Amino acid sequence: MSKRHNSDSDLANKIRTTLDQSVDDLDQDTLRALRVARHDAVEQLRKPKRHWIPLTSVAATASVAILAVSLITLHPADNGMLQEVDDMSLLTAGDDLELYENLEFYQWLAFEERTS
Amino acid sequence: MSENAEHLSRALDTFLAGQERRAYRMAYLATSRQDDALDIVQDAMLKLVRRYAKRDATEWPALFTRILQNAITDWHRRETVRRRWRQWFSRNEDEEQQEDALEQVAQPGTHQPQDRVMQDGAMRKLDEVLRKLPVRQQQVFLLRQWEGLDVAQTADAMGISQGSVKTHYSRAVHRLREELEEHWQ
Repeated sequence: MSKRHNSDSDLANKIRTTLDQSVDDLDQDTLRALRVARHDAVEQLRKPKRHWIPLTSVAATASVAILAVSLITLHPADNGMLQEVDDMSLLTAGDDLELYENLEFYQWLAFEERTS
Repeated sequence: MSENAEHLSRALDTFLAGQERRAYRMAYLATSRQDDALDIVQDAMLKLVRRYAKRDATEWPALFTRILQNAITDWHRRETVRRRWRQWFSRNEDEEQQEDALEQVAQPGTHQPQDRVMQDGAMRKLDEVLRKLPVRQQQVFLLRQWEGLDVAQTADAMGISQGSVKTHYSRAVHRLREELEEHWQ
């Protein structure tokens, strides 16, 4: 076994030990937050499935979309803006928000306004 | 709640309790933000329960790891987009508006003052070096060395090729050796 291999192995062991130690030393606030998160997640099993979209998420997404269209309208010469609208699907990413499909409409609307 | 559902609930709780601390540390190293790391872990837990609770329990570790990695990747993508928006605002808005916009965007790489995890010099140094690594290198290294995944499992969890795993891992080890060996002698 080479010296380098031993050295890498020693380093890896030390790193693992240190990481394990860091987990053991997590503060009480973090541990409490993790417990709450776990409890909330497991609690999902007890609740019936719902397929509505949270009103706050709809409002937030719609606000971002309206803001984007406004900015494009105010700054029609900025070619980078359509890329920024593309970015919004990432910024507002979530699981159940079908409203994102409407972003294509906003993007199309912005393009139409620019070119008309 | 039926007996089966109660049993499933307990099994998931036990599984997640065994994962949450490491998951949090991995997310924290990837984001350098306590709140974002907690959000990532919470989302990963919710997704596992919502989508895969009914899967065989032996599949949960790999599924949870993949969900967590996807969440970390998504976080970094959104950060990139936020930075781009911030730059755009700074170009186009007047100073007052710019300040308002910047208030909406957290600075990447800032560290919480209440970071109480690091107890000694070795841990602090390791934390610092790991957080400086590119996130792919960092997560490949953690999955391989800390989680004990092999190359194929790591590639599957991160959605990248086995060749990429080997490359990222090799670069991470090289960088860690460079940065830590002298400090830890």
